[in-house]
Amino acid sequence: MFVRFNMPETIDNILEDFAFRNAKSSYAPAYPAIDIAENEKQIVVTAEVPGVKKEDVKIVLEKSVLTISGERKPYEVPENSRVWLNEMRVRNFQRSIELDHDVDADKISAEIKDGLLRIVLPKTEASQARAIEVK
Amino acid sequence: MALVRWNPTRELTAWPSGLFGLQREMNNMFDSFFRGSQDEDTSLSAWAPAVDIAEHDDAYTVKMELPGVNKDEVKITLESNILTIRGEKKHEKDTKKENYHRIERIYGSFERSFTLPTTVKSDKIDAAYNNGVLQITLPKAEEAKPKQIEVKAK
Repeated sequence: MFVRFNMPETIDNILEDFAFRNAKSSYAPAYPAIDIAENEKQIVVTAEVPGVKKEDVKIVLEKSVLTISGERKPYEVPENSRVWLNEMRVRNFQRSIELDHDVDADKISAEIKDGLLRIVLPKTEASQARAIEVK
Repeated sequence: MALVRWNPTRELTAWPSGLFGLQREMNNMFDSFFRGSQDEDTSLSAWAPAVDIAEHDDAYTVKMELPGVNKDEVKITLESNILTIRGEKKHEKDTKKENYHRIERIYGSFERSFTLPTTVKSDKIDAAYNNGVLQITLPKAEEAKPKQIEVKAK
């Protein structure tokens, strides 16, 4: 399989991940969990943001760093209720990803559906791979 | 190549006698005891969706984080006060041809069971999936609702 060495790195969360992991369990995931996929034309970032409203998410691209931040607001629990289990984390989140391709900032699109934030970042013409013809 | 969840501590935990070595070996022992022999990546990828459970006067509510799960892939059963939620999170089909730089999301099947402390009206259970969160409302049976006892003066 083709292996890339210039993987995008998340800059934030590393220290926090370690602190959280040691406190709770060895495999506590970064929050929110993200997948980063790439094809010839675009980079697709998918983040799991269950229960987060679209107006509570902010996406910023600054140079080559994409930052996703937001807030998951707590839901209302009626009075006289007893909470038996509370695993869903309600807090602010922020993650940054360094992109290794130039993307067309004007054509970035993002949507939230079924608790998934999907950001599509089209590559600029110049950064798309192309075959070179041998004359 | 199999899709494997990215885990920054994998190298640390993989040390045979490192910082986490003993814990790791213990986990493996338990894992292999309960699961039978499966490869390592399967045991690392096993997951349980986060759940909130609250009890109200007249009902229980169970919320489960299931981002990107098709609601038709979720099965909810209640059998003598044991609520079981099982399902599967599948990879989106349209991304299969792409190169993945990073996979942190966990895919595969899950199952969680909870024992409810009181009986519920099994025919009145309601489940809704909204914005990646499954919410199940289980109304308590009449005899399980709190009753206020009036003190009478004689």
